[in-house]
Amino acid sequence: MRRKPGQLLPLEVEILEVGLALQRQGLTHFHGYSLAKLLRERGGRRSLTAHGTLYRALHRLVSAGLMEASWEDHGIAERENRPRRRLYRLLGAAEPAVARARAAERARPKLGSLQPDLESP
Amino acid sequence: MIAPLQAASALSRAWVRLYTARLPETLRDARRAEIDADLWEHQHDRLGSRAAAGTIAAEIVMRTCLGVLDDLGWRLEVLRAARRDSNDGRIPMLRFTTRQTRWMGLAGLAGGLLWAIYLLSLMQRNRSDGVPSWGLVAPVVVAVLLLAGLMGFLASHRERLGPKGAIGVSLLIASMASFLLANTLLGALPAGTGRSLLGAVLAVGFAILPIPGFALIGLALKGPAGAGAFLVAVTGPLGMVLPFVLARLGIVDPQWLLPDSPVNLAYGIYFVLAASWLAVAGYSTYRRAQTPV
Repeated sequence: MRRKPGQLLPLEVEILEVGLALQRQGLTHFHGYSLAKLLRERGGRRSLTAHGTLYRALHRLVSAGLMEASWEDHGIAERENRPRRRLYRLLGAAEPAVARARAAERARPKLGSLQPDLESP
Repeated sequence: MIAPLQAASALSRAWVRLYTARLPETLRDARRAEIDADLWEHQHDRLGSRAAAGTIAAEIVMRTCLGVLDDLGWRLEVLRAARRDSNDGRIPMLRFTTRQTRWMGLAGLAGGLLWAIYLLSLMQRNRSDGVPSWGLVAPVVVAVLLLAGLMGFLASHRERLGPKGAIGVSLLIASMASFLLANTLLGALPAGTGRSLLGAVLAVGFAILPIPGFALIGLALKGPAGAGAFLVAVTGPLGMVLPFVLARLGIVDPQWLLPDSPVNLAYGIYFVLAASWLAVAGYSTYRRAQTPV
């Protein structure tokens, strides 16, 4: 099924929510692996989000103008003797987008509410 | 590095190299570097928490395998966006330089003219004279020239043709390819049912495909080019199919369909018209490639 323009997938909403939580703690930038770990902890999952799923969602959020991606400074990575990280930062449009997504989710009828009440006579 | 980790990382990197192959350079390099960094972080983070190398390797393989569909989906999205940005909607394999397009236009012009001359000369010969020796090579040369001409026409007139016209030209290309295959491949095959069947399929492809092909081009193009294509499309069934149906029904004398020449007059006219249209299309491609954009 093709999704409507501007509509966020559950994982994308989750990523933005994690990003907002980090922002509130004063952390404005995060990288893919740290995000995968936070998503696992938050969702109580056993495994980390798959590479393809995570980076495709991040790519979409950047394309949608909700996040910004930039490469870490060469010097920092060299000093720590590791590959350069790609850092993500939430943009101003992220918070209203999450609020809209959550409101739409609440407005959607739940499967349970559509079932007939078998208990009533 | 520990062997299972090395193997798992190598597998993950190989997959990334595969699905990012032939993507725009910046996107390709960014994705490869990002996964590289993720693999490094994953291994060092988990080794730091004293996880076994085999467990980490299994996690990496799982993360790679479970993301395969999304990786392919991402590739499609990126390619679609790149095509949208280039804003011409052209098929990548049909992107030719101006110089190439000019030569292809000339090939189409020459092919169309040669085909018309060839057909007219055959129509004037007596059946008893048979096909001249040059008559065996000429159709292959003509088909190659016309194939090049049609590819150039499709590439240079893509916007004017639209989806309908593009399908029409593609049908003409398929028809020419059928003809070439019939004249080259069939000769190399041993005689038998398979060869007869393939010959019949290729003959039908060559003779019938241009009818819907020209009709679609006629619908897509405005002005004389579209009208000409329509005329060819109408002459096809009228000149080729209808007389045979009428002969079968006993309305016309079958002898009328088989004049004393190696080429049947009924479909000879259809092919001469088609050849003339293709020659004009070749000239139009040549002119278009001359005009600076």
